[in-house]
Amino acid sequence: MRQSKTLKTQSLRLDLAAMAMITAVIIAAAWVVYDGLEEQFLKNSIADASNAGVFIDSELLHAQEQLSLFAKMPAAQKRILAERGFDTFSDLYALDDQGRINTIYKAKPQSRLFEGYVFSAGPVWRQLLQSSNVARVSSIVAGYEDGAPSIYVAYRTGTQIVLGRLNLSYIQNFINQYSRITGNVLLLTTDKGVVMVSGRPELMLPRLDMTALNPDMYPSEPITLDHQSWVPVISDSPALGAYLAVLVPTRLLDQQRNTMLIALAVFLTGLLLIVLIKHRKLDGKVLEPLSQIVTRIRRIEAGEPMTDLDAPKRGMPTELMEINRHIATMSQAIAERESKLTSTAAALATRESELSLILEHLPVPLVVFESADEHLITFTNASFLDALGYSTTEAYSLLSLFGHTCQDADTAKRVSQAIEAMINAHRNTHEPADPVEVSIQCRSGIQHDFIVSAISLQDTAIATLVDVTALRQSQRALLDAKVKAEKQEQEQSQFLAMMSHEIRTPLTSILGITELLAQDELSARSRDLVNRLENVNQLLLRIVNDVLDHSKIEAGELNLQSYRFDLHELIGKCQGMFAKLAQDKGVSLSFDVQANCPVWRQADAFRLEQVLSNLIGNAIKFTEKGSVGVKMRCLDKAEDPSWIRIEVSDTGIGIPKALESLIFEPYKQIENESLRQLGGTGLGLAISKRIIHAMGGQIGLNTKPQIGTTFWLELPLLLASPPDDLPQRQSSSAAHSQAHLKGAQLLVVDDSTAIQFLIAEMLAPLSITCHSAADGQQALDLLKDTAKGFDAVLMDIQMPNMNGIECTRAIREDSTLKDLPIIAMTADLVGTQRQEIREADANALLEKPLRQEQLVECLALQIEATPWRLFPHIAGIDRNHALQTVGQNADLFVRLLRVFVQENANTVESLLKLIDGSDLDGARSQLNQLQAGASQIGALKLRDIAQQIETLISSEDQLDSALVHAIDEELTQINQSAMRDGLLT
Amino acid sequence: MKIRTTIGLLLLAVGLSGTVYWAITSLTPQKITVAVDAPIVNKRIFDPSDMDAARLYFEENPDSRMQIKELYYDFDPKRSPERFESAMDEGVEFFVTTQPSSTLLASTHLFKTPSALLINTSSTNPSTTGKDDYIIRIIADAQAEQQAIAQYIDSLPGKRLLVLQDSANNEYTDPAFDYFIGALEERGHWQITHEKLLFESFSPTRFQRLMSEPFDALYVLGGDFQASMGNMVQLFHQYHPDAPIVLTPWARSNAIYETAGPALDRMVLLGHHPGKAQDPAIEDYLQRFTKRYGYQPMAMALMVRQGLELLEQAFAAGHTTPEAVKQYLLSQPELQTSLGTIEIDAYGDSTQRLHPIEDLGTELRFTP
Repeated sequence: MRQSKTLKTQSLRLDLAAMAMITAVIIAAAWVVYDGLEEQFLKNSIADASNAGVFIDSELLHAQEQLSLFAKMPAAQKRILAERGFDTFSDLYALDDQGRINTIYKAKPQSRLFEGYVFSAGPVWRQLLQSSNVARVSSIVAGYEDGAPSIYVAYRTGTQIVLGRLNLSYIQNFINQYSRITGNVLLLTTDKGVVMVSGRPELMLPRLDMTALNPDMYPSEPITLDHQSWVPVISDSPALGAYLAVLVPTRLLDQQRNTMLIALAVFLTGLLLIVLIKHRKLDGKVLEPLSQIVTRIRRIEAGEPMTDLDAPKRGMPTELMEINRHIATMSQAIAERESKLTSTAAALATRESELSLILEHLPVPLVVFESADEHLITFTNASFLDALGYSTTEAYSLLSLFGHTCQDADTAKRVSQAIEAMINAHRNTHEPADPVEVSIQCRSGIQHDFIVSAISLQDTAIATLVDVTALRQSQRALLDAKVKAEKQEQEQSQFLAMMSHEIRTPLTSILGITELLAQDELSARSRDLVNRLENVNQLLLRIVNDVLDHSKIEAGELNLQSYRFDLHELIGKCQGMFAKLAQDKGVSLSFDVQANCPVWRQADAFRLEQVLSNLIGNAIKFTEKGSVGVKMRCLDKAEDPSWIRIEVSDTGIGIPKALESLIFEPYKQIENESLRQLGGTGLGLAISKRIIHAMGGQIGLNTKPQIGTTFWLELPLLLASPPDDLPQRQSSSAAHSQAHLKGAQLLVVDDSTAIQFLIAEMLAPLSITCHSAADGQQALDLLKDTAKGFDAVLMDIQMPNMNGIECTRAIREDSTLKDLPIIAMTADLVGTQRQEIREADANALLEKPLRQEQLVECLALQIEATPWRLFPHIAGIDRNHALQTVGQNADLFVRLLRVFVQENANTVESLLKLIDGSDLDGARSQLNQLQAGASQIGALKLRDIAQQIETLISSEDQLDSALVHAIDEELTQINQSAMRDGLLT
Repeated sequence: MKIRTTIGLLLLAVGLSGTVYWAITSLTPQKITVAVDAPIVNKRIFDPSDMDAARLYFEENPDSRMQIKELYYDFDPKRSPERFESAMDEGVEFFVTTQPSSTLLASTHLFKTPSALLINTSSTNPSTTGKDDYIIRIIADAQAEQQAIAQYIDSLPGKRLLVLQDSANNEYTDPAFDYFIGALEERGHWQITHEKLLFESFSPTRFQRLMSEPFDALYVLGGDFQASMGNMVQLFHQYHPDAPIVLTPWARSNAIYETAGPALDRMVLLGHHPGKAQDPAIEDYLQRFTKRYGYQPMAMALMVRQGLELLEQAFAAGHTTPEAVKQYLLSQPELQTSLGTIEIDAYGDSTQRLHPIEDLGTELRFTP
């Protein structure tokens, strides 16, 4: 293979290929030239032959003319003329029409004919004498007189025929002369190709095969005669009745061809010689020196020293000498580099030895392994052996190492894969990957925790194993302690929650009973006692709330909620809460709320209200005279427009400078006499600060003793969009009275009989009948028995067996109770259950302790004049709108609904027909009817669609057919929903 | 490695090609050259039917073991041997010739040894009869021929017989006349007027007186110059319209048909083959010939055909040397050809009889 690609062979190949191409071109050119010469030569020869044919034809014509003149002569004149010569004809006869010779005018001396001889067959008879076939000239035949080639001419006069045999000596002469001069052979043949006259008789050609020759003077394939090649060319002579053939010798052409071939052969031989000489020169001048250069390069490769033999030879081409010189230079440079490399290698070896020692004695276990698939271990240091106890013989690869040390094969594989991932990550990012921690059982059987790090080198990788067993043990101890502490904390939280519920439930009863007691007619002393009791109750409630809140905050259970609320409503609520207190104390209470500040916000409104209540309450408490002002502003923060600032200012005694730093600290009243004089638990401001901080805000104060104090807070309250049903709710809320609550049936679900009693007492004046259930399951049982007998449910959340949230969900899953109003009750101050209550689809939430006013107002809102069971919710129907339209008359609504559904059973079909028929007035009329009916039953969406279609028709805009089909969908939805509720059959 | 592989493949291809060529050439019988020796005469136009007969054979038998080499003789006995020798020098071992006795006798010495074998179709000189040479004569010799003619003439009515003998081919006509006259005189039936002349130079003026003498029949003893024969018989017929005219087998030709004129009706030819009316094979062959070449062949064309067929049979039987072919032909009691059976004796001389053809007008007439 290598030999076939050497420069020598390739050069030879190229030369031979070029020579072959040159040969092909020259042969083609020679062939074209030879072909042209041959064609021209044959043309010239054929032209000569044509001239000969013309000559013979003219001779024959002349003979015919003479014979006709002769025939017309009188007999005596004929004899005279014949005796005198008349050389055109050698023989002349007078024949009868039977071909019998009557008179011989002229005859050759050796003629075999005689008077009385009959031409009865043969060409003369057939061609000239036979009455039905008389021609003027016969074909060339063997003469009847002597067997010599002869041509006969006949002329008929009446019954006599004059027949003459042409004297062919002239033509024979011409043929011989022509053949001798031109070198071509002129032949006269019969129509069968039998040669009668030949320009060269010695050629011994008896006959030409006319079937194998081309007619009309067109050259035929050469024939061989007398060891020579001839090209036959034939033409028929119409006058002669025979063929004139020319044999053109190809000798000249052959000589030319042979000369050309010899010249070509000489040329090609010379060319081949040139190629060989050139190749030999190339071999000596170029290839051999090249071979020497290659040998030299190989010796350099082998590291052999340069010798004098490597010096360039004489006669070497300049380029090769240049290469040789560069190789010498290169060789010298290589030698120098090798020397440097040797010294560098020695230094590297020393460095490597040092590094090995370092690695060997590194106190961290270290393992070096191959990056390839099997990760074969190539090195481990002493620390590795000390720590794990395995040598590289036992742990020859990562998998075998971890196979020994991990608990099972899967773990070993997983650890190996983690290390491989670290290597790949390092290879890709050039940054060390995060280490992994593995627990390994060492050879001693002791489990150790190692942090494994690995980095990728060129073809290997290094992993270090840092023993963190001691660290992890201490961490585990700490974790156990933490878990224990968290458990204790959780238990404490649970205790606090339980305490919150357990304390607040009787407190609710106390507060409620006190409130009920205050409503009775009492003596002045009793009234005073009740008032004092109520104040004490309020104080107690506040103290309990503060303590529980603080406990929860300290326990990290301050879980803020986020829901939409009305900021103005929240301020107004605070205003309502403290107006009577301020008035009783003689302090003016004013609120200044920025008008253009966005009202709807998203935050934990309960906690914000708690803070504001605390600040406002403190301000009123510590202001003996003067005023308390609350001011709210939106902060102009470009980056966040949700921030607000609220200031609560009073004209009270102020706070001493020394106490400013302690005012927000819990339990400082215990430690500080001045603070203790202020009264209260001292937890309010601490709780407020924690809440505001948890909400992402700040709280602070500005105070001047004896002048007053301003507490301020700044916090972000997310902007929220107003609710869709805001007007209805407000209007319905405002519109509701308590009159329709009379006779209502209420299910109170609470495990506390005291609460059950309290609620029943609170609602008794309104003639509301309360039914009690101790837990969720009892409530469900009651609802199943008298499903539609209740107008609402008051649901406590924290109950045994089934709590209030679970019970609410169960009720909502019953389709017949989906509209039953459920009012949740909770004593959970921190509000962790609020979200769950909302998600369980309770209608409202009341906080414990319950206040009669709140309870009644809530019931009035949730229990409507028309009971939910009589006027169920129907998909596609706005219930409030329908109630207003029918004046809360459910029976009327049902009747209207049935009529509406019946009337519009075919509305869509009819409407489409009208539109297709371009009856736009009819369509508008039908749409008006539909709008009216839909509005009547509260199908507001349907009404709007109908109105939209009518508008499009009126404005002659393009009507979307989907709108018409939307009518059908709305009608179907109303129909199916009403049927499910039993309103339609 | 690539060059070595290429060269190896080339050598293998060359070797395979050589083997295939060797197999084909060794298994395919090689063509055997057979020289057909036909006349060509300067100035004398001679019928080319001998060579055309040979050409027709090869056209009709393209798978023949033989290949033709055309030879031409010019009736010059001196030049006859050199032509044969020249062909032999070229490797030709088999010949079919139509040379007349006058020419062939000069070359018979060339066929004394098994270097070449000659099929003689036309020389009847008795000097070759009974010789153990390598000449196979497939026509009867002059003795048998003339005895048959004499027997026929003897059967004719009349007493005065004119015999015209061609002096141009004495090697044939002299012994022939002797055999003829010997056979006829034995019977004593005819008074014979014998005139020897050069047919080629026949002069009516000179023979007018002779012809006008009273004769009951004419026998033209000659082989060539059939056109002259035609003139002679016509002149004889002019004086003896009812006298029969007897011709030798060699007179069968288109020339005599064209020149004999009204004498044709009185002419009888004793041929080597039956008339075409008697032998469909002859008729079929003549038709094929005239269709191919446009003229009626001479008598010797039939013998050329038969000679080639005999050689073909011998070659087909696996005999390819003159000696083997000779032995093969001599071993056959009868030699079958498409134009009839040939019987030869132990010296290779035909012994068969002649066939009188009396309706020569019909026999020689043809439609081109």
